[in-house]
Amino acid sequence: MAIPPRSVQIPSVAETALLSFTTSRRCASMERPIADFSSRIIHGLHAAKPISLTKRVLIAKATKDRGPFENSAMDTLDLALVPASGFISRYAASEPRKGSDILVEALEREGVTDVFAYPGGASMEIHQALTRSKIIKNVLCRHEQGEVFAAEGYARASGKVGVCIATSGPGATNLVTGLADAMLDSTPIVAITGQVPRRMIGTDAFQETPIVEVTRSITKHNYLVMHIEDIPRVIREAFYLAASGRPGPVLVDIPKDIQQQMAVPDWSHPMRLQTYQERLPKPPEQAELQHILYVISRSKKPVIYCGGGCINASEELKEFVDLTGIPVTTTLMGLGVFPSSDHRCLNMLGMHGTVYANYAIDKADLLLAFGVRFDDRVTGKLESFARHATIVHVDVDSAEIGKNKPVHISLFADVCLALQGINNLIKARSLTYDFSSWLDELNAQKKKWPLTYPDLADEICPQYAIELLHKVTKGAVIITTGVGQHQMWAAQWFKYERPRQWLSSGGLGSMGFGLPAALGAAVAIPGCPVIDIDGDGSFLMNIQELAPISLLQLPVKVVILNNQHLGMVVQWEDRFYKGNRAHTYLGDPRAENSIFPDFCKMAEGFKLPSSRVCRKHDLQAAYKKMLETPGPYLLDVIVPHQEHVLPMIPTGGSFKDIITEGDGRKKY
Amino acid sequence: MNVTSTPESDEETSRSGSWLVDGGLPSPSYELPSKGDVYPVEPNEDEVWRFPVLDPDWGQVEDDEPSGFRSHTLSMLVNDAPGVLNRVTGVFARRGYNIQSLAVGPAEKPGISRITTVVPGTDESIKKLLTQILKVIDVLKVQDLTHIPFAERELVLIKIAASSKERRDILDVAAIFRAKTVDLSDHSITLEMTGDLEKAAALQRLLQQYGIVEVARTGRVALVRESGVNTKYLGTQELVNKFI
Repeated sequence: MAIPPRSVQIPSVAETALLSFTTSRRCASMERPIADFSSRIIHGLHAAKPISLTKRVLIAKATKDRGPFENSAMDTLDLALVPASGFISRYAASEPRKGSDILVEALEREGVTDVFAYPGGASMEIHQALTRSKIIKNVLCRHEQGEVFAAEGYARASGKVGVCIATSGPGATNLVTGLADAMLDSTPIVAITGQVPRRMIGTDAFQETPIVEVTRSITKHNYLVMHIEDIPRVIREAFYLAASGRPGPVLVDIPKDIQQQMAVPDWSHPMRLQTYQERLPKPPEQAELQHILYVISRSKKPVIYCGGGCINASEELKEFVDLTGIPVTTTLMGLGVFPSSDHRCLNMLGMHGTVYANYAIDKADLLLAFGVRFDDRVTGKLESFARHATIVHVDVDSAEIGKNKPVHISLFADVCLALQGINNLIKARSLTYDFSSWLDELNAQKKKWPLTYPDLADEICPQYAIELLHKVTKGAVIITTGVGQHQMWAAQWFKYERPRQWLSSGGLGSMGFGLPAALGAAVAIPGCPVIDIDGDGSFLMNIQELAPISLLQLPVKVVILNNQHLGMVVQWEDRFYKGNRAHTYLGDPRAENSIFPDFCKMAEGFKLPSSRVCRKHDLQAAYKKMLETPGPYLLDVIVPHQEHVLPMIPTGGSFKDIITEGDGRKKY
Repeated sequence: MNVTSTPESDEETSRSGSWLVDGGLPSPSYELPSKGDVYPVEPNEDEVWRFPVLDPDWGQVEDDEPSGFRSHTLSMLVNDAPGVLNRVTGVFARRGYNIQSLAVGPAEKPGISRITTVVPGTDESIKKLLTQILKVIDVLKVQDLTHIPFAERELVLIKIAASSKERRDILDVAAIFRAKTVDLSDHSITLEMTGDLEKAAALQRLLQQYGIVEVARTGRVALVRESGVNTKYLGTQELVNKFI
């Protein structure tokens, strides 16, 4: 099944130069053979590595026969909306058309092919216009929260900007959780909402909410379009803001009378983001990179602490580690950025990270922080986090550098370019490093404190369930999760080899993320199986998204680690509140031996094949059946609720407070 | 390379039956640093929100407070567009900074406004605030004027209760302060005065005895002094002594 070349999210002016470049990049990343467990994984996971906007423009400049580090690419960027070569509008140039058609054409010009839209009174015009578009397809989710999480899953899996459209009033407010999630995890999405007609704004009209005011602090930027002439420029700016610098969500609010107004669009209006572009990071100076190399050569115990900011820099990071031999630990958002199978990978660090990763940070004398923000789940007590280390912080957002922890060497730059520059410097000078004694020390810790789980006779241990899933799928799937214990186990026990394989709500931690994100990822990467490892609490929150998954027959497999409880809160209750259950039992208290709700019956209602597995020896066969069934499948895995996620560093704790044993069967 | 050594020792950890990595046994009254909360709980949480917003008592946080906590004057240029002020003040609210005064008006170029605000904080925290404000798309430029010489003024309108007996005294005070009378009635006088913070505070203190009915202050507006002369030190004794 051949996949047509994916149109990459790019500024239109540089498209010709970039298309040829990205095709060659796509070929380069296909060097690994396709896993043979399922012939349905085609190019899915080996799709074009999406390139950050800064890099794309710099590459465009390079192809125009100018050195890539000459001047800031941004201030000479041609801001006019020149139609990309090959873009043919459905309308004649001077033909008046509706505002909603102008909007849809603006989306088409940005390279959008899939949107997640739910109709309503104030956005009907947009849906009518979408039916007239031959390029854009709509995936109808069943709740606006589902559609914004789906847009996020789409953006996280593909690197393109995800688009969701909702109506005014309740439709727009249902987007709020997803926008906050995209803000905290820096996911590029554009949310378009309908609004009541301009003269009714501010009158408490039917289904009116001031969504621009409501989402002001949870979006990177937002717009209320008041003139139809602004639509081309605003959409252009929205996509640019969403994708450039530190990505983030952008909301565009369009009143209904503008959607219905007839006008001739002028596509040549330039963007008005001069100062924003001047504030974007410049390519790093050689002197700064040399300074970093100097501290690396002086250190004996360096550690790389990388996160979501390195998602587009995975190859450069791998090359850097090959050249220097420095061990790597990743945050929850950075899982997959460095392959877990590599012996220098220390897996996840932080509150539920591995002992050896936290040990490495605690003992390190040099901390290379690439694309991270020193979040409190990772650092615990700030004063004792990496207390012996010189901290080098490279980030694309200058406000993050030094925000939580003062750093010794800071570099405000795109991580990809910084690593490229460092790699080039190392190769130019043929520098070699030897940290083998430090790696041996860490390997000893790996052997001493591996991740473990108890042997529970015939009950399915959730950690074992995930380990077995990894073995059966050979890791060649995209994983999405909800939030809670299952999320932490999925992070610890499933091994991620490449970026954009792990999609999970990190900063906001919103339950109900798993299923819609799996939908979005399946739409973004057709043919690639997506497995949603969910909990019974999280799954129930957006269960309505089984409808589009079933109707589109997307290869989304749902594995519910069903312990009938709100697992993570139960763990905290066990440890710190003497096991007092406060509204954390999700089953039927009158029938504690039965499973409530019956997810298999609900799946049947959505016309989904499903099954339940309770015994350990049945699990492998159940997985096999799940993976061999084409299309969607739901597997309800019954696990005990007494399991705890370990290791654990309590909040505000340091490495010496780490807890490695115990579960719900013991009293604290 | 820095080493901030802490008293914790790095002794070899042993895998005993206890659930603590450093081999210690959990004592019955084991106190977790966070007291077992999802977020670390500090004993002095209300300190963060201690300082009043828009302090009515002319309170400028004293310059020589030992913690370095003082009033910082910020001047920023923003696009003149609906909602921009809301965006900027939203950053203050979101990040927990108080605003002691706020003045907005058109700047040199059309379409651009200047916001001048006084915010209490330490140098470190204000630096972090500036990086957060620069993330707002409509903000063009931000400058912290506190440590460079700047000229500051404020316009005050004060309405004082005054019968015809007290009128002469009040007008005398006004003449000394070069304040103008803008309104007069049989029971009140309204004065207009421009000047810096100390002058405004002095005027209000003097007029307090007559009974102040209403006060309207614009808030501080400030511009950098191109001359570089720091007028704060002009009146002090030290400078006088230098020339004796």
